[in-house]
Amino acid sequence: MSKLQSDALREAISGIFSDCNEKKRKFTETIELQIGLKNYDPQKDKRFSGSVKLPHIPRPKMKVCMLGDAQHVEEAEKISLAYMDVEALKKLNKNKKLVKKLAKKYHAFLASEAVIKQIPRLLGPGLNKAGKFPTLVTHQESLESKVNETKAMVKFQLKKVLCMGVAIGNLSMEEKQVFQNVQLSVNFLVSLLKKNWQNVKCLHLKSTMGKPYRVF
Amino acid sequence: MEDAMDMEVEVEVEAEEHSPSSSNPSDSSFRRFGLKNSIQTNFGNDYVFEITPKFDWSMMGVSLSSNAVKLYSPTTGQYCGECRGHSDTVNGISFSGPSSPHVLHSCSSDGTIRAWDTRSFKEVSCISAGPSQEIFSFSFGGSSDSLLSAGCKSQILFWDWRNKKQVACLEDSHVDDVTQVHFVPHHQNKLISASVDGLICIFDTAGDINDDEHMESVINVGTSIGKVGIFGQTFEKLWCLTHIETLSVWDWKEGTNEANFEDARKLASDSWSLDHVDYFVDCHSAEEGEGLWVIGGTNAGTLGYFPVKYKGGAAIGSPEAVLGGGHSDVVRSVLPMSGMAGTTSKTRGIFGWTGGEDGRLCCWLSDDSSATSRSWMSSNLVLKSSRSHHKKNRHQPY
Repeated sequence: MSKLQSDALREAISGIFSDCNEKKRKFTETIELQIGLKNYDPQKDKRFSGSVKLPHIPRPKMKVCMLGDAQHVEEAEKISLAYMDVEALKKLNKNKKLVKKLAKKYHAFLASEAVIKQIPRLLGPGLNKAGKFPTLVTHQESLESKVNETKAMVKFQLKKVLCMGVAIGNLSMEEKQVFQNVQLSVNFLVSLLKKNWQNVKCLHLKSTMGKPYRVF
Repeated sequence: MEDAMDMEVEVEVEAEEHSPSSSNPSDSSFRRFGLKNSIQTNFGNDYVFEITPKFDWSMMGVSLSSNAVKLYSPTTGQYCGECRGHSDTVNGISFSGPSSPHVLHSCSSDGTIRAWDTRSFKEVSCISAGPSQEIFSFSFGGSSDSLLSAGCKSQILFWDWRNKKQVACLEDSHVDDVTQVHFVPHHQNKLISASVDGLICIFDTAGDINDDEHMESVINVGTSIGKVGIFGQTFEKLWCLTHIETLSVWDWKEGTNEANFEDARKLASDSWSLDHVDYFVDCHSAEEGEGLWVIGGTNAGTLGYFPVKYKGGAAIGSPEAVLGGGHSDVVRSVLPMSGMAGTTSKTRGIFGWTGGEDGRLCCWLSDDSSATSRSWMSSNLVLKSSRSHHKKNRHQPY
């Protein structure tokens, strides 16, 4: 097999979904794509690390906060998005504990151009330290689509070993959506490897509490 | 000789086959650089990572995946010697300026920055960040030019290199490997850092450096950053290459984005008729002005110099130069000799050197005539890499 077989993938996803139906858990399980590489040397070969945008949001419950100027604050209110304006940020007074608390409250932040420039001065490096420095959102794009874009981003990073996992979906999604997420991300990741499919040893899909299914 | 001819013919034919009818008129205006010299740096499976020139171009340092740094002559390709000592991957190398012309610096995942005398190939100095640290990048600069900064695992360290004392540690600004640190030319106190966490930070390094007060601005690129470079007439622009092979151009002073190429590989591939561009090696900027080129490569080792248009509509243009038939694997470094001051008769016509995962160093000739494409330097000789025993390269004069 030199490419991901659609049938194998569909079967695995069906299997995962039916397993979960047999034993219902009290939370929505995440589905993870586990990648095992071969013929790749983490010390010599180029770094395998980055973020990829999936076609369907894998973590819908992700909490995003808008650090906005007047216009963005208004938009945020309309779409029931949590927000803070410059005044509210100033009130934190660059207090490390308060900034840390803010960082913990949300999974990710968005910020208007006018606000993002002030963040180092208003908040210090607190958001950097939490790994949650905001993403810029301009007035040329829809705030809602930017929020969805943020929620659809997943990180992948290969460290010193040849295996890694990427969150690819959850059990409240449609099987077809999981299928598309896996296809897109696998093809993208493979395009970054110099031997493409010859660098892939195996691929597995696994829900949090379920058993792994091999798809390659 | 025969092989060289074969190679030339091979590539020539390739060009013929792929020549599009009329879809891409500018396609025929690229220059194919001829291969002058090809050196095998090792007889194992080691990669060439980086090539860096001595300020007077009398020598070039080459870092290999064997943790060693080898030295060669850029004009003749002659092997000069080897600096051994690092116990882990060498992540960055650079020569000192004219004040200490024979000194080469290197940083490594063994947590050290070492200085080597390239006349004796011996280590003359070593600064350590500790055994559990890794150093991915380093830069000399600062207000009195006394600072040495290093990009480490999440931290940015500063030493006064004159007494080797650590003067500061920035640990709040990044949460993952800091792959790049650069002091900005003509903006003495400014330091730019880039990390796997996707952030580019700009720091003021005057006085007592600390995270709270010295982080001036942050650019969120959104994905793991591999390389950044400062360019532009006033050194206020920044290009950024990520590990997912996307390219972006920024004005670091304003903190604004000037161009974003998410599907950069596809744009580059579409602009030429050769194979798919699989990755980017580096970006090169014009010596004067705002010109920028991104060097894209194929997994088979062909390179293209693609002009980047970032003002008034972002675009990646057709390659202005193609370097093919030299490498057989991913290329990791491109060193143009255009930066050389005072070209002598020996160096005239040499485009520069490239190094890659095939362990080869290739020297390329540039077509001096500004006329059309594909004029071969028929006096090319390709040095066949022999896998059997010989220590030094057989240099074939041209």
